[in-house]
Amino acid sequence: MHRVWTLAMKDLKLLVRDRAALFWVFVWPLIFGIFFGTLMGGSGERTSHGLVVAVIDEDRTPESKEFVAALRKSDALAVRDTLTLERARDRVRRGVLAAYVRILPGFAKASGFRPVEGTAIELGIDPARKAERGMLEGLVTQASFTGIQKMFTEPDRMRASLRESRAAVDSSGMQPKDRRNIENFLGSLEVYLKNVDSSGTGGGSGPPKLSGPKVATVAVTPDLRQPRSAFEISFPSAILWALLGCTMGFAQSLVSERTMGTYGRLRSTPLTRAEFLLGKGLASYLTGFTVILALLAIGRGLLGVRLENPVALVAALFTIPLCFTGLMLLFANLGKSERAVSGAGWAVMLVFSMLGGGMIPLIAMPPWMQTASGVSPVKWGIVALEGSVWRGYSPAEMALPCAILASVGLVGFSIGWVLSKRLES
Amino acid sequence: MIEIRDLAKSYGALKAVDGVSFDVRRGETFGLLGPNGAGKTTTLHLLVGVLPADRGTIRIDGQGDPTRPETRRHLGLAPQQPSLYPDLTGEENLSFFGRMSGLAGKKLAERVAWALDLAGLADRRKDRVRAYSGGMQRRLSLACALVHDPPVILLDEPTAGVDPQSRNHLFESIEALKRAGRTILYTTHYMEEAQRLCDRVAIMDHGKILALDTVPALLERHGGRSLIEAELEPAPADPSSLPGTWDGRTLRVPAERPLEEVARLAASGVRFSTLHVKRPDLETVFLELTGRTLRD
Repeated sequence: MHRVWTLAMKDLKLLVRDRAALFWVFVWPLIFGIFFGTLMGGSGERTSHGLVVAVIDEDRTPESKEFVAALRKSDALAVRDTLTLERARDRVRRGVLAAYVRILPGFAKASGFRPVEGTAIELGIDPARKAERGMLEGLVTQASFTGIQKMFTEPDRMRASLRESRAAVDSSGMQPKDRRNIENFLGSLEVYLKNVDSSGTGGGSGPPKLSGPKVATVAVTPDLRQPRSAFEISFPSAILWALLGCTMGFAQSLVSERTMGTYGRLRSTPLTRAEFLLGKGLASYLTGFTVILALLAIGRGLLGVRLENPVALVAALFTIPLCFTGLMLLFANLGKSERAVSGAGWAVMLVFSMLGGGMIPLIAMPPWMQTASGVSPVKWGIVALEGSVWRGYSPAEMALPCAILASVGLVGFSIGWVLSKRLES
Repeated sequence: MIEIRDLAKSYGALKAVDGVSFDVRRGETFGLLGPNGAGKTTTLHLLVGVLPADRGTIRIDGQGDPTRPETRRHLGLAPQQPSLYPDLTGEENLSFFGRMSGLAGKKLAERVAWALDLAGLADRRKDRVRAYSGGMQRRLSLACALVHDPPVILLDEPTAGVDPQSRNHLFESIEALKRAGRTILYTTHYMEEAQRLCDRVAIMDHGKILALDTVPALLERHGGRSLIEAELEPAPADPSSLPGTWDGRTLRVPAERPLEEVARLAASGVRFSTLHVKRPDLETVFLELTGRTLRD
């Protein structure tokens, strides 16, 4: 084991000293992940214009339209085109939207000076996002009072509203004391209106704090089984690209040992063939392990990629490098020269990558292609990573990709072992 | 120290090593001399267990088969190529190969320092091998073969493509190892090296050993007579009265005892303007045995 470890440490030292190799293994996949993540929409829920919200106007009155217009004017919000409630909820659940604002039927009536029963505005947001919730509630309330403010500059509109309010008070079963208070208030407004000329000049005092649309917040629990940002899709793919680079890099380094003659020298020491392959495999495994950890840490730290399932992550961390280490040993023994191994290895790896979601995200593939992708270990690597990032896989769900990855690794190692024996003789 | 019996290795129809048998005695420097492709390197690879033999037996230092890791602990191989890691320093290469041969801790540090001195690279030990000259890499390669102090040293064409200064350094190192009683198996296609360094030489061609003995014995058995080449002043009036052949300018006389023949010619009145005695060498032996020169 001492010799296996020494050999692996030597290979890692050589990797660290090879800046080009480091770039392709660590930096390029990071660029890939960030570039394609950004291209696909980045973190989705926040833009330079503020929190992204959808508005569903079910009232469809001039008041509700004024309210939507007021929301659109806010610098803190980016209002998306009106969606159906179902789609809006789904997008909030997946993190594409920060929240939705639903304007319920009766919003216009709730905007006048009358007793209000029930909710006029529904705000759908993840309850965990307390800061955004508070901010949104404030912005929505502010927008809803723009209607009331407007009445003070339009006396005719206010008179109509006062008439409707008086009728509503008369027909309500209010306590006599409350009724008296409201009637006094409405009477004062009528006096105020008499003093205002019909052109509306002279109005403009602050709006009375009697009513306004009631805002209710609805909890929309985010669905962990959906990616909440494009980076959660692009980073697993980027990690798999890094592993492909790693695999081919180590496969070529193993062939180089033969062509440079260092393998012959090593085999004249007590090192056995099995120890040699294990040492190479250990270096490849540790590099793969480190690449996954490093890229996920960067993704989480800088781009908000979740690591929701630690158990699944541990399983992925152990089986994905195992799979690609087995493939490395297989490809390294497919030929006698670097060129032969590189050609054969990349030819197979590119097909694996194309089929497995390295180029087109798995969730964007048509169903038949998703089925066909099962032959690619890249797919199972991505599935295992996504299982720990956003798919929220249970241990039972992780068992399939992990078992496939481990099996591919062991089969690769076994075939590599047989081929290396044949090459040696 | 090394016993090889009926060793054979083929690549398809090509018999790279064909029934080779020889012994290398303890403390002896044994040369395998032959042109490129003679089977020398394949024999070494069989000897260290890198290649499996088709048939035959190998015993090293009483340990038996070199496919056993324990047996290989007694070997130090300097391959034909330098076979080093260019992005490790000289010291790191030595340390790595030392560890692979089982060294560790203080012993490893001592042996690495010794090997760096032997290679004359102590002051360049922190430089990456990529920055070394070809000769320095050869010296380091030899040092890597010796770092674990093996009793049996296998040197595969150690001076091929080396500058004269490094070649002399390598010769001195090998001669020091001889004096220290190491057993050395040395392959080369330079007959001068074999004559200078080897106690016994096996001449190899097409995978077979054609002759094996000490250098003087090989010369005596296969080298033929010395050749006297002389230009005469004045030219002889009757060349047919002289021994050997006369081409109008140079007289060539084969002789068992060249000095006695020269004295006889001088006594008969022949005047030499130039005189050159060409003694038989291993090149002559190889020519005699194969009809080809070593560099053909």
